[in-house]
Parts: sequence; C-alpha cells; structure tokens
Amino acid sequence: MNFLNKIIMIIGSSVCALNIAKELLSEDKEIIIVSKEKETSASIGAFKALSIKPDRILSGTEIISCNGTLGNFKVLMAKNGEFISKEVSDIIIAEDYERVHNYFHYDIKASENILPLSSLAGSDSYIKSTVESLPAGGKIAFLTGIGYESNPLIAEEIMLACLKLQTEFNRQTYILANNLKVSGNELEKLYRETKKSGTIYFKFTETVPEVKQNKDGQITFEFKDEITHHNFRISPALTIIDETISASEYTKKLAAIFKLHTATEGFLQTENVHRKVVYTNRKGILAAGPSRAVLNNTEIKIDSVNAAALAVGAKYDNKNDQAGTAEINTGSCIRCLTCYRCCPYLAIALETRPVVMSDSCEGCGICFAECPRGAISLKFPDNRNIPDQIKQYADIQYEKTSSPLIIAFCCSRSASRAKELALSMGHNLPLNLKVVEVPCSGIISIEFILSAFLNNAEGVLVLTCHKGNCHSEDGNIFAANRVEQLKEMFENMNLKKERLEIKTLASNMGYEFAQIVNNFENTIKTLRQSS
Amino acid sequence: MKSSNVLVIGGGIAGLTAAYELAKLDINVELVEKTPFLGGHAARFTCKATECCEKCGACMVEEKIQKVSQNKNIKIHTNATLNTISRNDRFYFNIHINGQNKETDVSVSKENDISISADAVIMATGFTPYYPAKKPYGYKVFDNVITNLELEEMLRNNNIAVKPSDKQAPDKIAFIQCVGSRDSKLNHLWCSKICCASALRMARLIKRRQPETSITIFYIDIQGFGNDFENFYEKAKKDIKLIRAIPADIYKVENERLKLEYFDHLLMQPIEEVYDMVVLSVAITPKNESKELADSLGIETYDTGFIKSCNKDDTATSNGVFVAGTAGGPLSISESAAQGAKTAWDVKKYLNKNQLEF
Repeated sequence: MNFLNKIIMIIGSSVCALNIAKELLSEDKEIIIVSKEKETSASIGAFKALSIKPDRILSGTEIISCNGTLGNFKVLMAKNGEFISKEVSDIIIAEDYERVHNYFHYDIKASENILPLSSLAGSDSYIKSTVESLPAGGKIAFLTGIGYESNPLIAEEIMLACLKLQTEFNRQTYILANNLKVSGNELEKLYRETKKSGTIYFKFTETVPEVKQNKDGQITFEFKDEITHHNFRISPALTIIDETISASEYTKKLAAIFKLHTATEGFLQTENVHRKVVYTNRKGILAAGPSRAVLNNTEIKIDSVNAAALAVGAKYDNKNDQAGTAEINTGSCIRCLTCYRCCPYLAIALETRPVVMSDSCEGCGICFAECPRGAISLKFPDNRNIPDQIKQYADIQYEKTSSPLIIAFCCSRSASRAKELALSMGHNLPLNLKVVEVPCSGIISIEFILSAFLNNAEGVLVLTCHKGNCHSEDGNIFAANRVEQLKEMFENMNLKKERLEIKTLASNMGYEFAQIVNNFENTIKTLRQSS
Repeated sequence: MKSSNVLVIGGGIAGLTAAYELAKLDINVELVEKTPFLGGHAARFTCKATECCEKCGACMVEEKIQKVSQNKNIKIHTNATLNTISRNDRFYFNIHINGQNKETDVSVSKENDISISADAVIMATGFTPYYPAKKPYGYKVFDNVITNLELEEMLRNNNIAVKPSDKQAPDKIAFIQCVGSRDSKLNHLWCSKICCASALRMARLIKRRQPETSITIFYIDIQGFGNDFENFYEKAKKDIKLIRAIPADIYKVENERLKLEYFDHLLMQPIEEVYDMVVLSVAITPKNESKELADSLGIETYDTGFIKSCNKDDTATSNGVFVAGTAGGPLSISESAAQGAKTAWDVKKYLNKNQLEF
C-alpha cells in the first residue's frame, strides 16, 4: 500500500460529505471533493469556505470509471467534456438523496395551490409570501403516507411546518396520514406540540380520503373519519404533498461503476449486519449518510465520523481473523475469469492474467471453490489447511455401534458460534460430531464435501448463514448450489442423498444448532439400520 | 507517548463496540459490566430470520463478545459495580466485584475491590425496560402475559412460543405495542423506536415455525421504515392481523386464557376477544443509575431522563465524558454499534488533543 500519497476522495457535496471533509481536514488529511453540483451552487460554496485547495474541489464533475484497490484507486472523471484522472487511497461516497413528490399516489395534478413538501423547506420569506398569498382563513392540508410508508424525516418536516403555520401565521393545518412515523429525535414531543397548537390529524387505516380536483386545480377531500365516523369535506387553500426519499439516480450509477451491492431501493449497501454501517463490499470504498439509507441529522453525523475514522486510520478489520488470502497459481490458470466474476469483494484484478489484490481479499474462498482448474489456493495465517483437518478425523477408529462420524462444515461467523452457544446452554451434541470451521461457507467446495465422505464420514452437514446474512453476500448461496448439485448426483448414483444436508443458522441459535445436529445424527442412524 | 486508559461503563452492544474500536487504536480499555455477562439486552434476543435474514442485528452480539474477550487491550470486569468515581485531572474510580467470577478468561480480575484511573470515560449504561405492572394488563398476575423481551428470550432458548402456564403452544397471541411508550400519563413522550419492527419480525417468525398460530398486533402507528420495510410490511400484513387500537383491560378467563377489551372504531363498539398469550412491547426507558452517574460526572440529561450524548463538533470542549448507546435514547442494535464506534473515535481525538497539551 502506498501510504505516502494518501489522498481521500469524497464523492458528493451533501451535508454528510461536508462533515466528512471537516473531519478529515482536522486530521490533516489531503482530500479531494468530486461533485456533480455546479461551481456556483451553495453546497460547493460550503466546501470553498474550508481550507481546501481550489483544484481539489471538482464541481460539475461525474465519475466515469474506477480501477485499483484499497490504497491505490485510479478514478476517471469527466468535467465539461474533458477527462480527469486522479489517484486516491480511499473513496467515500456521500451523495445526497433524491426526493420525488407523491402526487401520483393521490392522483393529483400539479397546480398553483399544491406544493411538494420540500418547497416549504426553503427560506422563511418564501413561506411567508406563499402563506400571505392565500385567501384569508384559507386552510392548509398535508398528505403523507397514505397507501405507502413514509419515514420520520418527512414526519418531522411536516410537523415543524404545521407548528410554524399554526403559531406564526395562525393558519389551520390538517395532517392526513396513515402511520405517523415518530421514532427518534423527540418527534413524539413535537407531535404533541402540533396538536396543542391546533393541527388536526386524520388517520386512514382502513379507508382513504376521496380526492377531488376541479378544473382550476382546487382540491377537495371527502371522507368519513374512522374514529368519529363524521363526514368531512375539506377544501384547503393550499395542499402540501409529501415526498419519497430514495437513492439518487447518480448514486445508483455509482453503485454500477464501483460494483457495490445495493439495497432494493438503490441505496449503497445491503444492510449486511456483519459490516460496520459505512462499509461496502469493497475495501477502501465507503458509503456514508444519504448514499446508504434514510437517516436523520444525528445519524448522518455518526456516519460522517465513522467513515472519516476508517479512511484516516481506524483499521479495516472486517476480515475474519483466521481467514486466509487467495493466491492464483499462474501455471494452472487458464484465464477463464470465473474468479473475477464470483469475487464479491472485487479483489481480483485483470492484468495480463487475473491477480488477487491481497489488501482487498477477505479470504471467503468462493473463488477457490469455484475455480474449475483448482488453480487457487488459500493461505491461512496459522498455516491451517482444511483437507488435513478433514483427514485427521478419518484416522480415529469409530466403533460401528457408537455414534456415527458426522463432519459439519461450519461458517465461523454463524454456525461455529452457534455450536459454542449450544454447548454453553447445556445442550448435548452427537458424540462424533466433528466441526470443520471455515471462514465463509463459500469455501466449502464439492471436493471438501466428497473428501469428508471419503474419510469415513457417514454424514456431512453444511451449516451456513441465513440468506441475506452472509458477510460475503452470497457465499452461502454458492455453498447451497454445490450441495444441491451433489445431492442430485447422489440420487443418480443411487447413494443416499440424506447423508448430505445443508441448513442455515445465526450465531445466536444455540438451540437450533443442537436440534439440527441431533436430528441429523438420528437420520444417519436410521440409514445405518436400513442398510 | 504514554498509553491512555479509557473506562467504558456497560458491556452492552454500544460499550462492546466502543471498547473494541478503542482497543484497535491501541488504547487500553477497562470495561465494567454490572451483570455476570457481556452483551446486554441484545445478548438475549432471538434471530428473527424467516425465509431470509431480517437484519435485526441480534447475531452481531456473539461476534462482538468473542472479539472483545480475545483482545489484549481490553480488561473485562464483569459482576462489577462502580463504587466511586472522582476526577482530578484524570478519572479515579473504584469498582467492587460481586461474588466469585465465573469467567475463566485470564483478563478477568479476581480481586474484590479495584481502584483504577482513566483519561476518559464512556457511559454506555443502556436502558431499563419499562416494568408494566402498573398497566391494567395483569403482568406478573396472569401467567400468560409476558413482555417482548421475555418473548425474545423464549424464542432464543426454545425456538417456539409456549404459554408460561402450561408450556403448551398458544393458538392465539396478541401483541400490545407502546406499553409505556408515547404515554403522556407517564410523561414518556417518546417512541421506543425498535418495538414495531421487532414485534412484526417475531410475529412472522412464530408464524413460520408455528403456522397454526393466529397473531394480532394492537398498535398506534407502525414505525418501521427504510430499506425494504415496505415489502416486509406487506408480507407481514398477510400473516398477521393488525388492529389500530390499544386494549383497555385484560381479564383472566378459564384455562389461564386472557380476555382483551378494546374499542373497534369501524364497528363503533367495544370488542372482547380471548387470547392464549399476550406480549407487551414495553418501552425503552432511562436508567435511574445513569442519571445519578451523569450528574456526578457533570453530564446533562434531557427532560425525558435520557442522557445528552456528546455529539459536539469540537471535542476540545468535551470534559472527557462520552455517552454511547441507549443511555442517550432508544436505538436499534446496529445504531448502538454505530454510535459506539463513533464515540471511540471521539475519545481518541480527545486523548490526542489532551496529550498535546501536556
């Protein structure tokens, strides 16, 4: 790793990006800001006010591509039709949200007396002129989260606006909602304050208000209140529609450029519980604040500090302590690129031949198990090797009458911990259950499983994390596919496929672990009797 | 450079994360935990995965405990109560170890009273679950009324939900949300944040393992949001009956069953329904001891009783006392961990700054 030239790239000019910049500058780090925002925008202005060299703020610039690894990324960008290339050690993505108004949810067309919520977040003078232009006594209605789920950020904005409209402008406000999201940030208190100030809430659980819009765009709501059963008709002078907060199109594009895993809504990261919140699947590339989830200001602050801390020097410790590092044997490699395609961490670089970038390798072993040529080996820090571990159990003489030899491949993050927990909870485990702990179930190759059988195992268990819980994102899926393939093979060969089983577990499932292994032992014992 | 010592009070998820992150920065940590075990409340939670991981984060605890226990920079004091804490340039504190320590780990101290000094303190003292005996729900009177935390533990230890009265599987379960949360009579003007998602997840877990069970959740507003919540909520609505009402009373009827009375707004009349088991989703409330400790360390508390965390931009103004986790208000497991990590970095900056001044 080249520590001499450590420049940290921040992508985006959100409040979160600004916090990160401040944090990094206070640690005397060199940073470079890359934002799509215009040179003259307010958000770029905020960066200019910091002590950053002007040529380190690239406004109106888009990311085109990225090569390299932790400590040495080469990023290609475009500004005004010209290409710019930069070398940086770490990349922090902190792009802002995209907010899209929800007019379509209510079948409402844009008109003068309808505004999206964010327009109220503007200057006080704008709110003043907007409200003063309304007819005297004109009421204001807010529509939020009816037919879809909103979030506390939106709820806070709406309630703050209502409080202001009620107290400063003496306007009657209504909130038409379903689930009012008041989790966090003292929102329950704010909710009570708005009610006290006169805001009227209507909650729609089973029904929806009928929305009528006339030719002039004027809206009328008609509904029967679910609590009082009274009929209401409200014709507000102004209707405010809430917005959906999601990852921006550009954030989604960045996910594709940097090959980052995303959540269903396009936010960077999959909420993988094994990772620190700002981690992505790629070492050296972090996703903070609005680029990874809907977060309030406090949470964004926490993300900023955590991202900056990681880039500055808190160690990327995500790697399992006993995980190895993959190595490609150049003699056997036929450049089929299977490893390149299956590595969830993008740790394989394509030079004249595929090469493992050891700083990025997390040692999950997916490439090792998938390589059709067996050209990849894993070097473990303790020189352990899994084949020997499997073999050692074959040497033990097992009485045919006693408990059968069961080899269980256990993921170190889930099943192995569950086994310890089962023991500490006082569960009895099969006498001859032998655990082969693996860094990730992605390493459990077909050869390993067959080798377990060849070494006298009467049954083999593959115990992985639950779907969506694998640290390597899909190591467990790879393992499941291999087991599936083997079971089919066993069936065709008239072997008992029940001798091989795959189950998913979490580290805190001690009871479940004991149940799985004991049931499996019973299955094997039954097979023994029938044969 | 002299090596710094940081006192972390509380071995829950926030304290464990803060301790581990500090240790990684080569800072010595004294971790003081009142109970015999590390992990806090979350260490008793169940995995809520159904067809896939539901991202509750409960499984993180085992990994964290293992990492912290194996780290040489962390000295763990379980079963330990803080006797005194004083400040004179550095922090001086005295801890009392209660009874014989069961842990065999060498790093666990055996002495009964220990005096240690530290350069900074992290309060990660956690929360107290609201004790619902004052609510008209018969908690601790009727066998089959339990809290959500007790259900977590039950599912963790036995995989399935059983009635405490006879250890049989219940046919009908009701969850009552917001017990002690969003409650003006108690002056609890906060939402406990985690209970809606937790109740929905546990309900779905029970439905998966015990498909015959009928489950109803009584609620005010369902609070989940964000990453994929909408999909999850849609799935949950298919399996679970959601009623927007908070029951007024619970009565015991024959066979230890429970009669719930609530007002049905659609029918405009009170409804009585009998369940086999009732789960109370109790509030996350501030700890009394935390407030005392905060007072003695010169840290402010909110009106709610939660402690104001030091999220100040400038750590130079900090007095060396930091707050992490649910001591500052309701948080999820991953949020507690994120705050713990952030606090560790704040402490590191504070220590660097202080060393420069020496």
